Amino acid sequence: MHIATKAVAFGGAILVITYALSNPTMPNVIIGVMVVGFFYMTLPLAGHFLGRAIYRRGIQPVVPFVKDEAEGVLIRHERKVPDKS
Amino acid sequence: MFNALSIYTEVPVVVPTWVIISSATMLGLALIFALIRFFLGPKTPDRIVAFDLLSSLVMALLLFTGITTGSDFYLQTVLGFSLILFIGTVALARYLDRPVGVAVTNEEKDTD
Repeated sequence: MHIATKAVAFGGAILVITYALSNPTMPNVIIGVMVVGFFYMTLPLAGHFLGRAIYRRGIQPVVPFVKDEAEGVLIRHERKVPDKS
Repeated sequence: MFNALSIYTEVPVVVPTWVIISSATMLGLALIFALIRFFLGPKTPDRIVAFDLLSSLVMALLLFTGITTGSDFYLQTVLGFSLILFIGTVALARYLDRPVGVAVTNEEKDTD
């Protein structure tokens, strides 16, 4: 979740701002604002979907949960095969 | 001395050469590490997150090329690329969100 949201959102936003500052024509600034807004709208959604899907798939993290706060909130799929994929 | 900007004459902002070299090195290292995680990730979500990171790094590489060359059209490419990246991530998450080892019949495939 952190990789799918934070790195792309902040790094991409900084790169787009640099682009719009280094080449400040009117279409570049407008498209840059659009791209940054689109990043901040869609990337948290994508990261949330990924984390939810991975949790519901029943994959345990490498460091085990101290306290599973989504227990009983999200339904995990039942697994008929051992934890392989 | 290596000059990465020698073929581009009409550059609006001249980026220093050490900035170009260091940022290209960092982007290349990030691509190599993401590729390593993509090939030997022990489980499917590792590979999917690594693939997501790979496409984001390709987007960053496009922006880097656009900044260093001073050309105009890379930002529109990034706009289209981010749309495809979001849709691809959501599709892969939908693919992950299913029971493992349980046969999905045709009746319950189209629900929810």
